[in-house]
Amino acid sequence: MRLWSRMLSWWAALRRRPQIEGDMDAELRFHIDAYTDDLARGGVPSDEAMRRARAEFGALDRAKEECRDANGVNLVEGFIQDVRYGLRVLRKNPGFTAVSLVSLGLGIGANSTIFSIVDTQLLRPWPVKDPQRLVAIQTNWPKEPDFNTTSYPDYLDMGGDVPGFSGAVAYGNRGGFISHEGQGQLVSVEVVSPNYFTVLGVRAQRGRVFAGRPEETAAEGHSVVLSYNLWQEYFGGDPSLPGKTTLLDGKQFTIVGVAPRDFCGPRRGWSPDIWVTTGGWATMVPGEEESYIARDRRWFRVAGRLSPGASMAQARAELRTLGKRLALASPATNQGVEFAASPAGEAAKDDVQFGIYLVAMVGLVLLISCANVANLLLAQMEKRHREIAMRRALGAAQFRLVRQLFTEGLVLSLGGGLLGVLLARLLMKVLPTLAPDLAAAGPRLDLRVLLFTAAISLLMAVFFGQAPAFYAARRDLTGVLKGAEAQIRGSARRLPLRNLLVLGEVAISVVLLAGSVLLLRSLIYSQRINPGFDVKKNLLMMEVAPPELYGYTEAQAAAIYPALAERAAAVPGVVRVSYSRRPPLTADESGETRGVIIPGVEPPRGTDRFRIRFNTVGPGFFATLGAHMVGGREFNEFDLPSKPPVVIINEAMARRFWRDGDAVGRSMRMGQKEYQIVGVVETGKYVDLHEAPQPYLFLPFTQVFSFECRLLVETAGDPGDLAPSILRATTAVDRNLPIVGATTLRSHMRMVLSGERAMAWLLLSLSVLGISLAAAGLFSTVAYAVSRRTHEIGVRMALGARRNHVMWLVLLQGLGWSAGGALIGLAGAVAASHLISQFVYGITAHDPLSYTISVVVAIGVALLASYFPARRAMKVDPMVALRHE
Amino acid sequence: MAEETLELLQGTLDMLILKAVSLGPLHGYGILLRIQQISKDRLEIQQGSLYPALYRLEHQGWIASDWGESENNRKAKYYRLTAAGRRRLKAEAEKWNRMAEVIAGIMGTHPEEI
Repeated sequence: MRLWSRMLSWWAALRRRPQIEGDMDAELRFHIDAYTDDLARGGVPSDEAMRRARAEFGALDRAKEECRDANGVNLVEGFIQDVRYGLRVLRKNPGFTAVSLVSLGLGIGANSTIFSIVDTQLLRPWPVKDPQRLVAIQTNWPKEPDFNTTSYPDYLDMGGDVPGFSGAVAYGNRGGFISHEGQGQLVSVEVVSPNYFTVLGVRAQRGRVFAGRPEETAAEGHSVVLSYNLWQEYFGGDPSLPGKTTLLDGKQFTIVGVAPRDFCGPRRGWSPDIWVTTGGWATMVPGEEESYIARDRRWFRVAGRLSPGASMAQARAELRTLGKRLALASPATNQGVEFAASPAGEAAKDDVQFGIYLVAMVGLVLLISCANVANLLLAQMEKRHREIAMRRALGAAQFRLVRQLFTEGLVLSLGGGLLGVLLARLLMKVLPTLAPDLAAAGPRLDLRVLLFTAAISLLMAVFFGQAPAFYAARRDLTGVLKGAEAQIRGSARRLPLRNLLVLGEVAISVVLLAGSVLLLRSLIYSQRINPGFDVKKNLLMMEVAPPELYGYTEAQAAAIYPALAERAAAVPGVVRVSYSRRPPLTADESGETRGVIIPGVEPPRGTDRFRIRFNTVGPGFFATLGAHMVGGREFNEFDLPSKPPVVIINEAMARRFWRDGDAVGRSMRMGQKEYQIVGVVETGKYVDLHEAPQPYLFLPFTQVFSFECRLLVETAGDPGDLAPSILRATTAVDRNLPIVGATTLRSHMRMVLSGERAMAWLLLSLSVLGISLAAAGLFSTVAYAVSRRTHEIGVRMALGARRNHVMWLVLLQGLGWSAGGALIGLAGAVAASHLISQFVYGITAHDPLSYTISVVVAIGVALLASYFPARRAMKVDPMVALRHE
Repeated sequence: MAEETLELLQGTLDMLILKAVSLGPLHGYGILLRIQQISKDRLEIQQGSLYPALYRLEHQGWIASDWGESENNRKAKYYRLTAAGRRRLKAEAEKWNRMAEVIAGIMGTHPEEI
């Protein structure tokens, strides 16, 4: 309340200064006149009365000045003066101003960019109703500890039988192929319970969302809701779209609506293209009703909304009870199955961890640029303290001086903030090309980011505005005015604060460098992991559109893949061609498994078979990829449906189930059929480059058909060059069957590592920024020290010191500070290492080599930064230096 | 014969101003007169220090001002107490009374009582 009245008063002071002055005049005049009248009425002669009234009032100007102080006019006035004066000072020192602004701009720009990325991925409230009442529910099943997805029947029980939830939604991700007016595109399909949008409390951007209860799985069986992005990019934002039809996996669907922009469902950072209900999924893939009827088909994620008044603990307890009840009721599927709950909308733990790490690191960069500016300001002070001493001698109050210096810092930091915003805008533009992973969530410079930037700019002004103000306020007046400073400041030991700042900058740089070297070394390690195939092969992977959409029967489609492969193989320059259902090493739909029964081996407790991941591959697949057969043979064109079923397993599987891994010639059962193992292939990576070796099996495409297929074309030269002629050859088979995507193995592998690469490069650029700023700070400090010691150096030289000696004197001083900083930084880096330990592969987070490299780099850069001023010191002419006094 | 006038104690002017305007809106000169009148001319107030005090109190929101017409038909700035000022005055008065009591107690102590 009182603060408010003061603000109003300041505001008035700022806006209506002339009027306030006039009022003050009138008021004081009234006082004197009234007193004069009273005196006159008491019998004093009028001119005597006037004189006495004025005399008794006292000095009018002093009263006015005190009034201005009292109502804040002076404060405002002073601030405007300070800003003007500050701008003038900055203009007069263009070098200092430019370096400070760039330093601040870089620090603030980097922070704004990182903040906007972290904000969109982790902090921004996500567009559902009451997100804090949403709970993510996990199923923990003993067979697959890596997966905590839920089956649809279990989900229905959660929604119906847990009073702690007022509603629950299920959603699972699948791939699909949308075609509209002759154009096709692969899309990410979210299969959801019909109540998905209503429970999340999300309304359509256009049209409507699904309606129906969770158990009405057939409801909306021919409806789709589009994502905002798909609507914009694929359908061109057509406003009349709702109500029209489109083909999804060749089946006709009605587009009922478009979801709001940024809507991602209960999973943060996830962006499905299109939503269908469970009924819609069965429409897309006939026979898939099983996938949401069976209690052991667990592929849905579940989110529940807490009932009014219900707590998380209550919901957890009820879920536990439900788990026990279901385990008793359906032991075949639910024995040992438990349900857990956690707050929904919490981003993946890894993302949060890396987000925190990034924010901390970019905050360190900001600290460096802050220290840099403080350092420069201090140097400015040294130059200006004659001016400051003069102003104090002329009667400027201490407070007034400190405020003046603080205002200058403020002007500087706001300028830096402005520059930072411009830089951040630029960075956002290039982000999609530099780090597509980070740009995917669509970070943008909005009000939140601008507020954040303004806040850190102000914070910085407070931080570095203090140092010089403090410094200037306690200087000795008379000494300075007498010009005694040259002697006092002769020794560089007189710069403790500046040395500390440089020390801190180097220390922080080492922390940054250590992090980036760790991540880079880890990236190099990851690039060298053997994924079970030759990553250096010239290989083109071409995805064939699902032939069933183009009227092919299964038999026709089964014939077309070998035909395509044959055509492609005939193209000059092509070495070998094969095909497979999935690309090697992919995280997409990696949960799909086959149930395997192995004679004589006991399946896991509570189940009747092993669940093994698989791929379906054509003849020559392993030769094309360069995978080594450990034993037996690979598939060939004679593995026909008429022959006995065959299978190839990897070495990990062979070793797990057969002594000595001697599996060739053995048999195993999948479904109703007996499969003969014809080959064992080296163990590779199938889902994730960093996975532990896992059993895996391969089925022959010639016997086990799939509508999903990729051609794998090995070429002698650059596969990109041959792509057009290969495409021509394949279209000759059927001009209507399109290839929907082509990529080389090399870029596929780049994609696999894109997350790790983005992390490493991001941190590397931060640390390069940090060390450059620190180098600039060190350079200016050493250069300053040298210029201050010119006289001393001159004396030394006059007394016979050698030039090299003088250079080393200066170099060693710089080295001393940076080595001290590097040691402190080393300790800091080790302390911070646990923050990234989980992103570092192949080496430990305490890898000595990485730390050594970062310390050596930091000290090397520091040496370089002090080398140039040191050379200048060497060139000091003793005669000139001595006359300098 | 009037008693000798007293110098105002440090920090009490604000309180006296608040008290004076609590009885009704007054212009600056009127406040001066009212304080002198109530104190039966025993208090000496520096006229020049009155206005900075008024501006300070207004800046803090304890009094507010409007331009009005004076007794002799001239434009004058009238000050009145705000709600916050009324609370402030009450607190100040209580503090003052306690202080006066304590000091009177100390000063009135006879040697044999210690």
